Amino acid sequence: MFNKVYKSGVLIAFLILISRLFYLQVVKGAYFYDLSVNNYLRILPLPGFRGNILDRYGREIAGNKLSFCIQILPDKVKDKKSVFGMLSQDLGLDINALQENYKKGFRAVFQPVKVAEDIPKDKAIYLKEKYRQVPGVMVEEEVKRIYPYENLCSHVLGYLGQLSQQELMELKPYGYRFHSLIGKSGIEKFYEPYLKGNDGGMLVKVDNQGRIKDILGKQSPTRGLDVYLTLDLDLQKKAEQILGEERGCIMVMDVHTGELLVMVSHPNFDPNVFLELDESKISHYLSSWDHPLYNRCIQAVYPLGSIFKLVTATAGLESGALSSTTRFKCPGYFEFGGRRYRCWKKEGHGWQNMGEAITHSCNVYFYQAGLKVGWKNIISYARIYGLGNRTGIDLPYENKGLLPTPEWKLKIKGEQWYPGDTVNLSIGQGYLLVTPIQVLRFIAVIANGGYLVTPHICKAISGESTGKHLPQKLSVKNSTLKFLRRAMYAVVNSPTGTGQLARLRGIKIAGKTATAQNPSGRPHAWFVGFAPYTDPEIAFLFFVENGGGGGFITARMAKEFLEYYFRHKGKEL
Amino acid sequence: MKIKVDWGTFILVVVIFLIGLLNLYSASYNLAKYLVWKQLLWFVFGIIIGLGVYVVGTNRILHLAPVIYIFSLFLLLIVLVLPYPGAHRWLRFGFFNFQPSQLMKIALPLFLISVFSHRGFTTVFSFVPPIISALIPAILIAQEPDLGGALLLFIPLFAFFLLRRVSFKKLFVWIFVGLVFIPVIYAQLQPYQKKRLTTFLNPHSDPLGSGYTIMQSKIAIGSGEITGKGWLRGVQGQLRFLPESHTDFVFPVFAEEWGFTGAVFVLVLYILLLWRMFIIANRIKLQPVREFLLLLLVIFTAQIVINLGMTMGLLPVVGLPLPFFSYGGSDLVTNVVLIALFQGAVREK
Repeated sequence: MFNKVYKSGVLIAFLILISRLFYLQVVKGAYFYDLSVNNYLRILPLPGFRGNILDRYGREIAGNKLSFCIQILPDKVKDKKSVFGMLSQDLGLDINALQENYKKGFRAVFQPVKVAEDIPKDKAIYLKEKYRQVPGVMVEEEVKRIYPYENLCSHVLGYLGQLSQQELMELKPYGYRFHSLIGKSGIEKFYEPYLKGNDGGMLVKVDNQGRIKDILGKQSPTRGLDVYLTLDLDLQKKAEQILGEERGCIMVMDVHTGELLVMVSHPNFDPNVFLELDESKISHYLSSWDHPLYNRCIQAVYPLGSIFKLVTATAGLESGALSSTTRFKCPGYFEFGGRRYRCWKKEGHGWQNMGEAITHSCNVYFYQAGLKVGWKNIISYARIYGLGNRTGIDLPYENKGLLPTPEWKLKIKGEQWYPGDTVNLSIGQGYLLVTPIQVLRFIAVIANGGYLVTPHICKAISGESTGKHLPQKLSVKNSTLKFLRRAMYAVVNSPTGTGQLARLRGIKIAGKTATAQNPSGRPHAWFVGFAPYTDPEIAFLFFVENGGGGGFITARMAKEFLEYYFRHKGKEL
Repeated sequence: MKIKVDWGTFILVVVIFLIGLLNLYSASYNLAKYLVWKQLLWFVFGIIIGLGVYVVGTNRILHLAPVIYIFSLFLLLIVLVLPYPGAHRWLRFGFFNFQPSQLMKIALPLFLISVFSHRGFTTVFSFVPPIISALIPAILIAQEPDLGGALLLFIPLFAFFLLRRVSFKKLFVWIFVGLVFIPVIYAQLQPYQKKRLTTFLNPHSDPLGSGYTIMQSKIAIGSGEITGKGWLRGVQGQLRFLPESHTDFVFPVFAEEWGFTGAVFVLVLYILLLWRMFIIANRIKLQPVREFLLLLLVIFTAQIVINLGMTMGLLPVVGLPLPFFSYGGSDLVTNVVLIALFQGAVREK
């Protein structure tokens, strides 16, 4: 039974196969031979284009434009030298550059190679007519990604690049081709599957001049989905202008939802550069010492400095080790373990309670407070506040930072944890490293009454809201948060506060300065806070690398920005 | 130990492999010439493993069936959960990649024969255990995603029921159930897999993807005419009009360069090999070993027929390589081991 089925099955199968071969090779052989010699079949790509990226009010930050380019079909060009000569004359381009582009773009004899792009429209129409009689030279339209604001929001947007060999192998089933562009960072990368359009194309039969004789099949290209960001373009522009040429970042976030209204990192870059044939600018970005491609808001880690005192204070109040009336004396320094730890104020702050110590940003108070509270409590509350952990923002390459613990120190440094490490930790120095986005979220927790939000930057995709990011209620007492809010209000509004430069008439601002000592030179300057004090809407963060002590530069920036922000919202100031 | 080998099978395999190697040299000429050396290395590696199988003996391997089957399932699971981007078909060991679905091609027949041979298949529900044991690996392989590899497993299952002389009425109940589930399975497919099926039904629906491949494949085969264009002279293969010309679509390269004469010659070699293997299997007295070999033969035959049919535009593009012809390490090693299982049975006889 089985044997019979198998034998007859194999027999029939091979008879069919051999007859098929006979049909293809003998009966239709001449026809296929003809097709193969000239290969009359060609795929003309009809590229799909990417969805736009828009701000929260629908203003376009990344779009598409029509542009014209010159392509060469290698197997149709007989005399390459004269063709390049002609192109060089018509376009006013260097013949060597054209040849270089050709060499770089060549893949296979039947695949068109782009040798020049961004041809002005009038010229393109004229050349299209002229080259009609030149076999193998084509003037083609292409839809190109364009970032009309150039450097604005560049870190949020990201940039596009050609697929690597590895990516191509893995993504081929999803419609990517050799020259396909793919998001390499930012929103362009994170939302790549939504933004990407599907390429279409036409399978055509051409004559020996490369002219289309017959369309054998067509597949229409599609457009990707639009991504709406939470950013407000006006605020973003203002923030970029305020940060100016400093290295650093500015962020503003809705304290209740985690929507980022502003995300600025500087130095920045022009994503359009990655779409041009010229690679020298790209390599400049890649090799520059100040890392312009780096989104400092989420990728960079820094010591936090005095802002961390808010964590130490929380740990003290929540664990019961301290109360808001606990007093320590600051003579300007603190002697411990044979070392002298200094306060930023040489002559000292004298006796202070916790609120005053935050207002003055007194180091000596918090050295003593930290030792009393212990590293365990401090680290545990830093963790609750989400420091040293990814926030889960919808951008790639978010960094984690570092919350040091004795186990960590033993493992990595091979040393035990000294009480001196706790002293340093309690004012946010030592091994502690955070990303600015973590710090902003931590400030939002204080402002919104204890809810850990998920910062995000995409509001909707193609009109569909991307869903609520439910905040997580933290187990920190309301009285503690209220105390911290009041202390931060005093930082800006008390006559002895360290953040007075941010004081604004008409709107109550709360904030905290920080001066983060670091090995790379002048200290980093931080200023974080929220506004309005009584019913907080936004949390903000201003940070300048090596911006100097006291947080002066950042507090000034905050004032300028907040003034604009509330005017922008129609408030009388 | 008595050494006994069926030289007919051995020589046929070596001849087919050498012709395949010659053809691979041409197919990879403008791509990566070292592929020929890698393929040769894999063949040698396959022979080493095959020798082990030969020494252990097919009957003894049959006793290990559950272990081998579970191990293969385990590998299929591993390959799915490993965090590689893209397709999850390979276990990657740096210098070489292993495809667990290849191992399953041997493990499933082994398991079916050793576990279910003595069961009676009288009721409709007695069919369930063997069906499940094919369904589980098929689902895992389909997730990789590799539809061709998944569907291939149902062929030995069907053959197993044939061997057991089950009642056709009851078998058709299950085939009917399978057909009912086709829309459900279709909905689970990756977009590109759906496209391949619709392309097969209507070649003009995807002129750029597999439609293009099939068209170029047909041009390659057809343009070989009666005598072929000569070695290394094939336009389609050399100029890379034909995608996957060193793996799944390696036969068109051969047919273009050697023509109808050469293509039929290779087909005849395959027929001779299948015939020889069929004879060997039927000469084995021990029923489970004989039946195991027959299931292996069915799966081996199916691969050859499906690959050839696919390149000639008779079957959908499912991505199955041509045994001993296509480039691919795991596949080659598996096929050598499969031959070794036949030789092992000859030795034990």
